[in-house]
Amino acid sequence: MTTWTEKQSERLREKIYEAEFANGLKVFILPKPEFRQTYATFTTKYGSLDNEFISASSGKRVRVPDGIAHFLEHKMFEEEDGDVFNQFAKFGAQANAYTTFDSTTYLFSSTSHVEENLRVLLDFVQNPYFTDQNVDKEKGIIAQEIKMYEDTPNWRSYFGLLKGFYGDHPAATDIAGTVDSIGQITKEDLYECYRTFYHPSNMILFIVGPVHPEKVWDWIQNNQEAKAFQKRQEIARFYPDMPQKAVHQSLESRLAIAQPKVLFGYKDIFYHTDPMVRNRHEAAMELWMDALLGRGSKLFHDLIEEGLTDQGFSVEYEMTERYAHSIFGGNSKKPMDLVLRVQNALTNTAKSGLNQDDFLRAKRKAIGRFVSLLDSPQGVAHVFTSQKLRGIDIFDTMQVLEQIDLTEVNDALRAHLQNDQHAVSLIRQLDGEA
Amino acid sequence: MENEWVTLFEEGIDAQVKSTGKYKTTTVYAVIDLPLEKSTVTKNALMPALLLHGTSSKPAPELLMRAIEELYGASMHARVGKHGDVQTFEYILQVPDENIVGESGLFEQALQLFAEMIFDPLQEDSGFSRRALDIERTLHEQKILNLINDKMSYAAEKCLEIMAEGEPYGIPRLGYAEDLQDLDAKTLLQDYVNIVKHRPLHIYIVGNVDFDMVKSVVGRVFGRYINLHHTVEGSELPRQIAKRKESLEEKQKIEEMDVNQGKLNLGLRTGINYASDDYPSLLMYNGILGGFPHSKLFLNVREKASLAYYASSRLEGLKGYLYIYAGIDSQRYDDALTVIKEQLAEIKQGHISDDEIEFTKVGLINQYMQSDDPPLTGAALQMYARYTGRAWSVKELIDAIEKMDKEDVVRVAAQVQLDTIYFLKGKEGDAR
Repeated sequence: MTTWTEKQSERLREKIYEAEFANGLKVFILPKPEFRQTYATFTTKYGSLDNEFISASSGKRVRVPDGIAHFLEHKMFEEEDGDVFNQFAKFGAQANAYTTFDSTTYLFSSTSHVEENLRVLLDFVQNPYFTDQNVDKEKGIIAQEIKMYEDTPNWRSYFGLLKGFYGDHPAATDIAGTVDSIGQITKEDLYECYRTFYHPSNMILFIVGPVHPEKVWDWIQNNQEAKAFQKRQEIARFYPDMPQKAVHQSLESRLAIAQPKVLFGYKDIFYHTDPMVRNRHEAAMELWMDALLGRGSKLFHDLIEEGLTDQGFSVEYEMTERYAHSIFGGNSKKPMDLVLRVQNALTNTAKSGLNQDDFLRAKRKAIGRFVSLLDSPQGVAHVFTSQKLRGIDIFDTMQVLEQIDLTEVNDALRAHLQNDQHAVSLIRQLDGEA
Repeated sequence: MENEWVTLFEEGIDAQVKSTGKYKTTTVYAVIDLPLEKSTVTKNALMPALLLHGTSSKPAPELLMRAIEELYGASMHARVGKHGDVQTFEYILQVPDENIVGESGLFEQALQLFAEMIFDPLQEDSGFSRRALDIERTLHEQKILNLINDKMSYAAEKCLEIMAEGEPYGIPRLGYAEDLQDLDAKTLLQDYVNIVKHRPLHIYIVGNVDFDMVKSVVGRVFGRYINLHHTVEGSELPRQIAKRKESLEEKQKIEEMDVNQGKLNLGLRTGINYASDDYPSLLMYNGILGGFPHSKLFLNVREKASLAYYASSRLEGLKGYLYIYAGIDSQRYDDALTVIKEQLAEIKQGHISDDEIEFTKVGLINQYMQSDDPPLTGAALQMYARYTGRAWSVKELIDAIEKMDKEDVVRVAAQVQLDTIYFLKGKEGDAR
């Protein structure tokens, strides 16, 4: 009894299998018979943004402490009979987990015992075990994780920029929370979040590697049928309104570093409920950003020649279901000059329009880079899952890229450059000039 | 697994190809090995960056990068590497499979640009471009200073520097800022050309490519710049050995900085390296100590004592050095050091459970099985073989690991010497 839906791309030499189980769990399999490793991710659509919701335990609207999704991720690895890492270790798997703004992922990779490892993955994520004692113990560990990030210029400048865009909105809150906020977390809070967000119907399982879809189906079916789940229900989540404009146009802090680091960009005013439209917008944004400031652009090399930055300068467009923004930046001895130089170039290009050759180069590059992504089990698992949760299928990427035209890309560029959406985040040296 | 490599030419340059349908990207990796020496480290470290400033046919960095990216986002890099006592030039090219993106000739066009980058850099008065040198000199100096920005790698580098002082391995990968000023564009190019002409070039090509096609393309493209059938002279690379400790004193250094988290790094000498029959036992030792989440360090420093978010160990197999590293609260240095030293003592005393042995074995085997997935593992194994004179196949390593027991690990533990303790400590009172 197989009820996979198959989607094949002859050109990419890939076939993806998709199914939804009775309890609502969505499963995707990308067979890669020539690879040794199987890489599996089990992801809930629940991240650091989801701080206010109708609790599945009480039916009431609750507000939980910042950093709780990430705290929960840490605590899932503890079971009554010990540490989950040991169960994976027994079957030679490497296991890990990570939390983002809008998702939490548990994963393993292994070259043998895939059935056993998959069972361990499903079982530990579907079996919470929290005690006052183990919750308390984790606070010290996560406090050190937070402190580690506080010393990291990339992380600090990134969150500085988000703060500039979004102020107190959870979109700018550190995923791990603060030492104070995690100090308030109780085991009851964790159970409440777990019950609300870890229902199979809110989750995706993605498996890539040398696996047979039919066999995997049986494994999952047997495992899931043996468990009782609550009736599935819609999850009601509440978010503060997005600020209309960038909240702080400029933020600064200091760290023990050798050279300032600056990030800047624009909060996007684009918003659309249709994921297909968002997908296309995202592609258009990424195309002009790469065409104008990627390694193959004239401007990238000019910035280096002019002594404004180094080869680490990068550009990125981040888009979730609810908000999006562009990020530019890198190391710079003259950070404000760098910001102005790039802003001017963006404004000029918005006026003149992007050059056709640059556009085509960026487009071909995007196609090639998507093809290369498929060589990385880990990369494809992460990108596929995060986009799927936002309603986007990455196997449509080639088509979207081929359809997109220069006018669309120029329109996206022009609409993006709104002065009141602009923010700068600067990290200076401790002993640097003011 | 790694013997799927086929040699392209009967004699002459070392070029090998692995034809496989596994990847949608073709990877080309070329390496030149150099002895790591104080007098040459800095200029060698600078050279790869200069290559990216253009070639005769693409005489500006953006022209070169644009040309490569136009090939469906093919990418090209040149970088300097450090592997024990060896410094390397490493050139990497990645090209999407031309059958997928639908453009024939893509591989040859990309390989042509790759060869130009290596053999035909942009010249000015028989030297590198002076403008390029000025730019890269400034960037390189800043790169050296920027090591402090990432506290985790800064602490690791400091620990290594103290432990390997006086050995080639103790020389920093990027060289010394003070040696940058004397470099001139002409001598640099001469030195570079000398290296490329006279030192062996090892080329590895992996992807969905036909052997005969690759052979003719490589012959045609590289043949424009070098004599493919010229037998390279055997050149003297230092044979890497695992040095024992000379004095019984532990070296200790505490550095204060304005940081939120302290970084505790320990350097140990094992006396065993990749060349040794005991190498698999050393892998086991490291696995039990700190290579995995089931290891003693993770379990005791993090899970039991809540002292750290990360606490692990890492092996430098070429040199037989082992590093322990943990991010801790600066006030808890003594606690953390005590717990770490306890773990070392536990292994020495043979307090190792059957589970620890078993989990480490299957964990290591999994890592080696998995190493078949990235395209360049085979190239890395060959590099290690060149540097140590000992060739291990993945199968040999796995077979050896399967036979390991507790005695093997305890035997290694008896030899392990704690050499260096480095602590990057937050300032009292914390400024922020």
